[in-house]
Amino acid sequence: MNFWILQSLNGLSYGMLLFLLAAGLSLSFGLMNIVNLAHGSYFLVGAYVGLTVMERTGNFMAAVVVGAISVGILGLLMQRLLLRRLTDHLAQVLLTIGFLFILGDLSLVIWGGVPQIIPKPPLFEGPIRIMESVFPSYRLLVIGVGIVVAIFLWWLQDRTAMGANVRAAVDDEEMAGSTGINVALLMTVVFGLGAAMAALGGVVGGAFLTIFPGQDMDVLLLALVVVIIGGLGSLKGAFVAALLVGLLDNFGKALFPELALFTIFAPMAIILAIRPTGLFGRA
Amino acid sequence: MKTRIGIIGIVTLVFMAIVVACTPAAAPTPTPTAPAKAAPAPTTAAAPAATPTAAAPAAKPTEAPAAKPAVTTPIKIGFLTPLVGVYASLGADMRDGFLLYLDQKGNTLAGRKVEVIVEDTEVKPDVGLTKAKKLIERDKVNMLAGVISSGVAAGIADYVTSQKTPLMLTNAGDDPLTQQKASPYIFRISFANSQNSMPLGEFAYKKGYRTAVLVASDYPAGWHHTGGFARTFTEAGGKIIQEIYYPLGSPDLAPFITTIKQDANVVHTFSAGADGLKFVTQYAEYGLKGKIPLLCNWCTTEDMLDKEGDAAVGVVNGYPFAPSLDRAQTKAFVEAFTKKYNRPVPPQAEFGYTGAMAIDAALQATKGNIEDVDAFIKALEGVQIEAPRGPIKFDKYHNVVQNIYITEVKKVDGKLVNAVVETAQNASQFWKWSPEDYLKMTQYADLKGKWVK
Repeated sequence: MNFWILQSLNGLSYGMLLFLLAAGLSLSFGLMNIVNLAHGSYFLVGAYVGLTVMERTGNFMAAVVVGAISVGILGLLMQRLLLRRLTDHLAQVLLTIGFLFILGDLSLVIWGGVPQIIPKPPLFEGPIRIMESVFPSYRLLVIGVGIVVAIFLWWLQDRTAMGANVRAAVDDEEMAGSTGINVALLMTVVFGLGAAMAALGGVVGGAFLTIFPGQDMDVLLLALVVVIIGGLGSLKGAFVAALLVGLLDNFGKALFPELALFTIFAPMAIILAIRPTGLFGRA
Repeated sequence: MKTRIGIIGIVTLVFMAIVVACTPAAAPTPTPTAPAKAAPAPTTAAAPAATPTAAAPAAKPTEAPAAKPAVTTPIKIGFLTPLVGVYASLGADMRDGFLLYLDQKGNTLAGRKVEVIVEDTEVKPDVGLTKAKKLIERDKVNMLAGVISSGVAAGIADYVTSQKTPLMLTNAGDDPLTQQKASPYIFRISFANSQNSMPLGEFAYKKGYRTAVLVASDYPAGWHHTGGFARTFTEAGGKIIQEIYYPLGSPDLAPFITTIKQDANVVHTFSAGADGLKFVTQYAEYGLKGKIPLLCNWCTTEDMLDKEGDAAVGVVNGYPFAPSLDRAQTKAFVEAFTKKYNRPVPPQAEFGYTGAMAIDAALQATKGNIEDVDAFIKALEGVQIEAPRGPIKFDKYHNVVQNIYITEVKKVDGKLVNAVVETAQNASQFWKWSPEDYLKMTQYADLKGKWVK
């Protein structure tokens, strides 16, 4: 019993992190048709910026905010100045993979190769007891952050004019444009928001997963898996898929530690075979 | 929409391929070759002449060599070390220890300039082999040194032997490299993996622990370290009740830590570098600290200790060097390293430093003639040093014989230190067995997963 509660909470906290990471990727691909392989770099750079802020100020909130905003601006610029001009997927892949390497090497130069960990906020340093088992309170915080962000995004998409515009643009860009929606601006804002969320994930995750060079590639792979399972451009899909991958990954590792890499790719293959557009994707 | 899915699918596949190809874990598993041809013939000739005792690490300028060296071109040493990935910190420390010694000698050993070419192995056996080939074939180095990961060391061993290039391992502890697969060209100044953990198994039993859980990163170093612990622990009468192996450099260790059986007396882990940092902090986060004592190899080295913080207090470690040792040589070395690099001193820094010391001693004995590889190797075999960690020499399989220190993390004046609680004097890689008996036993790679009876 204990085992299942503990592992489920673990999986949920990891899944929430994946959601923060993958939501932006799913949106930029679904809405703007941009294949952005530099998305993993947003996570890594966000984490490193957060680390620096945390070391300077000791304030975790400041680390989260500065990390998210600075990377959000980086995303805005990338989309506005470069990606917007490219409609060809191959060109996008080449450009963004170039950014992946450049940003990765820049981080290596600036922050070095030593694995780092962001100090947790003092309030969430210790473990708490749940029934008979002990669970790190920080991971509960991560679950909480994930839920809050998910609700916020749902509200933004379903209950605001901006969200309605986004939905319209996803369905039919030209028609949306002809009704007076500034699609170009909308896209830039959504892209920046996606980058900022990945960076938020980086700061939050950097406090319990450690940050190290090469992590950008690792998380990009997971984000792609989540997007494929969830379906392109679907926030609901990204949320469900992220939790699914988080739980599968965790239970896979706990139950069959030697098959650790296999347990997330096998479900992806199965889902692709049954539903090629992903769980919530539209054909 | 269909083409989009296709594209993202292809991209994902490519990345999967990259990530799987880059997984550092499975190095070529050492094949159990017959131990017969293993031991390099013990040197009989001219041993006493070739036992130069290198000077204490205090920065004494080298006295001018008695005879002018025959060759005056620089000696080229290729240094393999990871600068990214899970062992990036240890790799940088090992390199800096090596360079510190050369720096103290004015980059001149036995009258010849020394040029060091550093290459990054990224903790990947295939990359390590590519870099070793580059160093030997393109840069034409006289010898290789370095290497953190057992996987990388196992991956390059056959190649360097075939090239007849001496290799001084300054960390990688892959057991078979100085046992079943010993090569005349490979020396190891650091440790054989299980050399660190066999004393720890006996220590655990003496402490009254009777049941143990093994947790290790899933590659040769993990199997050897936990295997050595399990070997002496079960021999004394203890029982292994669970074995857990996780992929080296796993992003999150919680799924593994939370499955540890709660009724164990003690947990033994091999988790180094970033894995050590994750293991120690998450062990505390999940409330196991204070409940089940933690014995480890490498999980609290000084590069990570400050980041681990109070979670590390009480953790017991077994390895050949601690900067807190009360020795003049240790203090001089720690002071010199701290002064030059201004950061904590983990054992790997000392391994790099001592590796350079041993090379220096052998060069002095051969008057700097590293081109005569056989004579250079003979000289290395006779090297005995008062190193910062204690007295060391090589056994006839080219592995170091040295003290193994069992330490415990304590808070002294608000600073975390690995304080020595017990010393196993002059421990060899065969511990209390004779080499012949030891080499007849089943190898750790084959015992992995079979310790639970």
